[in-house]
Amino acid sequence: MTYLFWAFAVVWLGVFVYLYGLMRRIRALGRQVTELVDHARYAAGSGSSPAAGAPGASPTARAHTAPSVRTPGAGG
Amino acid sequence: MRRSLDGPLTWSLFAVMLFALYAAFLYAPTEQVMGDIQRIFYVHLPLAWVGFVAFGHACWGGVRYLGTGRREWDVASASAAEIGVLFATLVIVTGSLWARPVWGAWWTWDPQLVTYLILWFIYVGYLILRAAAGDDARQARFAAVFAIVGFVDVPLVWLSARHLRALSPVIFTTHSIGLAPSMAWALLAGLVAWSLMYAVLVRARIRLGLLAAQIQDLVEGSA
Repeated sequence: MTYLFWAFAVVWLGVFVYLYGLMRRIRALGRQVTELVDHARYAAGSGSSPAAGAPGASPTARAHTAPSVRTPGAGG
Repeated sequence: MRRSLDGPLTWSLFAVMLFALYAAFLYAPTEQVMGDIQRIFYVHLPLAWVGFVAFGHACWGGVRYLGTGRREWDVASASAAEIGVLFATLVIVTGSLWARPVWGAWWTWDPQLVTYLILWFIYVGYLILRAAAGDDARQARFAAVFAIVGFVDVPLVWLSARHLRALSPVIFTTHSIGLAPSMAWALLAGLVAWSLMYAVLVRARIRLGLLAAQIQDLVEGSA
């Protein structure tokens, strides 16, 4: 019975660890998307975007002094 | 990929997996020789089969990538191989947990086990290669060839159990199923449940891979 328990436990543990890994990758992509959006807003000269170096600005937005992300409506 | 399928697939998975667990633990009778340890078989065999399907999917993705050069197929191939490796790892672990009380050893150098281990190493190698390739199209093509060639081992695993005096029990032959009907139903439920699990996981993983590729393009475009 011990072996039976461990076999099923290992299978479900494996599946949940994999799902956790997928969720971590999704969160990392979400952060990248947020940074790109900040970056694009800054490039478009929107007043609502966080200023580079200001509190709340993403690390990417602070790092790029001359961002060049192309966004729809940003003039190509 | 149609998002509208995600909900029905996930709910079907939930329902069928519950039924498969019920069938494995309560519906199927206890095997007379091995006892309860035989119930490992209801998760071990479906995982092995769906693992083969995953490697077949990886191979098909590789073929299509070489033919079309479209990134979607490369992502599909890598996603399928990743889940195939997960399932194959679980097959090896559950097989060991079954073998210890039945054979008295965690592992034997049985032809089927060896060919399966080789298959596992091939696709782990593929994943390492694919991760190293990144956006390099030449390396991605090389990885696709690797996925295709690696699939050659799948029929060897299958045939080794039948023609090389392997220790692993052969359940399905061309003439019959070596199981009582209630055991066969429990096995079928496990097969459907783990096939649905594969479908849900691979769809999520492909979508994630495509999204990552698009974001990478945007980051490179902004640099």
